[in-house]
Formats: sequence, C-alpha cells, structure tokens
Amino acid sequence: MSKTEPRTLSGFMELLPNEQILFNQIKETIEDTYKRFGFLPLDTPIIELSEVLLAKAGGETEQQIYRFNKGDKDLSLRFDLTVPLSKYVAKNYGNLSFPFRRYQIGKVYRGERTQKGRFREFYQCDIDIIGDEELDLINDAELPSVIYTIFKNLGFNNFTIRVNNRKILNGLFESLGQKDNSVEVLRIIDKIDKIGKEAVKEELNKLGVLEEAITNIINFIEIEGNSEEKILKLKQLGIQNETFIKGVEELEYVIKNMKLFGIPEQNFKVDLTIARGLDYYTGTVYETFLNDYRELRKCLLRWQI
Amino acid sequence: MIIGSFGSVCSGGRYENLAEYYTDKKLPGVGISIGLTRLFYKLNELNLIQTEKKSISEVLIIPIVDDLRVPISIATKLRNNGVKAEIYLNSKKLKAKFKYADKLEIPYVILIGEEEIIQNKIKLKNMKTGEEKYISIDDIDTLKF
Repeated sequence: MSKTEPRTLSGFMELLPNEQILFNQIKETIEDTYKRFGFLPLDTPIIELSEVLLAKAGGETEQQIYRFNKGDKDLSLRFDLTVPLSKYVAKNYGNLSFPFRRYQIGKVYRGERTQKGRFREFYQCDIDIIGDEELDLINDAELPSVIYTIFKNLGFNNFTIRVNNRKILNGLFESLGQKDNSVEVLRIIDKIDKIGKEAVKEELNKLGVLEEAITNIINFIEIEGNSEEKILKLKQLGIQNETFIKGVEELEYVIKNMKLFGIPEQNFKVDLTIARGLDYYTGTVYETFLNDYRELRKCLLRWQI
Repeated sequence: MIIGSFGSVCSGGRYENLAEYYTDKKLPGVGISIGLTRLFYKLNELNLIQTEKKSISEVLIIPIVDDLRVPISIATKLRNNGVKAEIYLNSKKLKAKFKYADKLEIPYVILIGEEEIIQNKIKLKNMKTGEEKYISIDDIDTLKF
C-alpha cells in the first residue's frame, strides 16, 4: 500500500508533548488570571456565516479570510474573537448583564502570506468589557492591571505596558488641519519604531502634509519624560482643540488609576506614538513590550520545571 | 532596550460601539488581546524557553503482576486525591517500563509485585535520587508528590 507523507500545513503550529506542556502552562496562567478578575468564559463557533462574520470587513481583512461553501451555505472561519463577540452580544443582549466582562481563548484563522513566524492559525486570548450605552473610563485602567498580573505570573519583571489615547492624536490633526489625512498620518506614525523618524517625515511629506505641520507632529511625538511630565507637556502645548483636551484628560485619568490598580510605575508609560487599529479604537490604546533579553532568559528558567 | 524582533505581545484599546453592524444598541467597550501562538513561537525561537518537562504524571505505577486489581485501585486512590498518576499498561520487560519513566522524567515510580501484594505494601522509588522505600497500601492516602 502506498503511504501518504505525514505533513502539516505551513503557518500551522504543531508541538511536541514537552512543548505543548509549556504552551498549555502559559495558556492556563492567562486563563486563571482572566478568571481571577471575574471575566466570564465564552466560546463561539470557529465557522460562521460569511454574511455575519464579514458584515464589517473589507480590504485587507477580507482577502485573508478562509471562505468556502458547504451545501448552499457561504461560510468563513473566524479571523479574530472581536467580531464573534460583537455578534454574540447583539444576539444575546437581553440575557446578558452589563457591564459584560468576558474572556475568550481560541484559535483564529488568517490566510496571511506564509513566512517565518507568521501563523495562519493562532490563539488569541481576549478580554473585553462591554457597556450598555456607556462604560466608565475607569475600566480602561483595570485592563492593564490584568495584563500586568499575567506577565508577572508568567515570571516576567521587565515589561512595559504603553498607553496612549487616540483622541490626542485625532485632536492634534484637527488642530493642524490634517483631519482628512488622519488615518494615513496615524498609519505612518505607527511605524516610527520600525522605520525611524526620517522615514516618517519623508512619508508624511509624500502624503502632502505641509512642512510646518510635519514639524508640529514630530515635536509632539518626541515629547519626553515620565508619564506625568508627558501629560504636563501635552497641556503646555496649548492646543485649544476639544478632542485633544478630552484625550489628555482621559489619559491622565487612566494613568492615575492604573497606579491605583497596583501597576508599578516601571511597568507602564505614556507612549504618544501608539496609534493602533486605525479606524477602530477611539480612546485609550495599549501595547505591551518585553524589554530585557537577559532578564527574560533568567525569568524563563522558571518554566524549566 | 526593547527586544526588537519581538514586537508587541499584547494590544488593545477603547472602542465607541462594538456591534453597530448587528444592532442599533450602542455598546461601548474596552478590550485587550494576547497573541499566544506568536508569543510562544518568539520565546521559543529566541531560546528563551526550553521545557524540561516531558510528562505531567507525578507518578508511574508499574505492575509486575498479571492481576491488575491492586495497581488499578491504587491509581484510583491517588487520582481521587488529586495526584496525577499513570499506570504502565503494556506487557514489557521491567527494564523497558523503567526506561519509559526515565525518558519522560516522571519523578516517582510505584512498583507492585506479588511479594508486595502479599505484604499489603507498595515500593516507592524516587527516580531522581534512586531512593526506595516500602509503604503500606493502607497509607496510600497520605502520599504526597
């Protein structure tokens, strides 16, 4: 009998038992922490109707979707856990208690171009807090404390949760008359860590942003100091734009309360360059980075049980 | 210094309206997502994790008898006490059974032979130190791993 070569698609992670044990330990640490903060478990189907899953999608996202027909149904694999959450909350609105705090840990699928370190099937571990009509800003300060607790529990010490507020950037662009360009400008600023300041300037120039506005934007993102100093300098810019002022207020409030939730100052900072998910986020945005390679090596020895 | 090739390990933010494509209800929210697969891959790639743990069993029960009633009852007792216990269930030579425990680095082995059953005992071996001791079957509940 001829044998089929046993093989796994590229972009799909498959581990040996010793690696899987470690993977699961990390996953369980994340889940335990989510539970400890009172988030409710949720599991949604991996397959959904394309019409439902792609209600919002477009452009790049849509091209990456695993989409197929089964019988007369047009189906797709979920590509994140947020869209299924949206559908779920809308569908079960009457049966949920708000603020609705849920966690979901599951695989999602994106047909990205295969390259090293890019996965087409991967786990996302999400927490969201959803309000009915409104959700107090204090919630924006609690989520980073969940992340802080997770990375501490995983044995990391040297990591930074970077926080920003989209209203600040949007307000700045409004005040500079760059509102129509804001999505593009944000996309470019978002790359400053990767491509550097000069390349950002060049790209802004190509976009048709005036020299003076570019200078203002760069001055803005180069504001330095600790979190309090940055907030102070933002206020001192004297920008009389409503959105900008609201953003600075929100950021100040979130930072203040992150401390209240017990995040040490060395583990977070204001980073005015973070833009995140360009058309999606409207206020607070976060990114978390692991900092020190050597320290990382040390703390991960803990996992070699 | 940020680990350059690492990128952000988790990200998120505040959104105005979660479900506008499905409902007229205004549902603002805030969320964060950890990309676990990529995080694990990167840690592994940078050699920051090398797991030594090859099994999750705390103890391997090796029966040297044909009648499995006693080994199974001991495994059940241990499991009921929350111990992760595994029975070697394949008729191989004793050496092969120990090799299995060795390869998977299971920290303890419980040996159960005719002699032990007659004396109402089990033999407990610490695989790291090689230390062996007999324990009365009545005292199984007191065993901690």
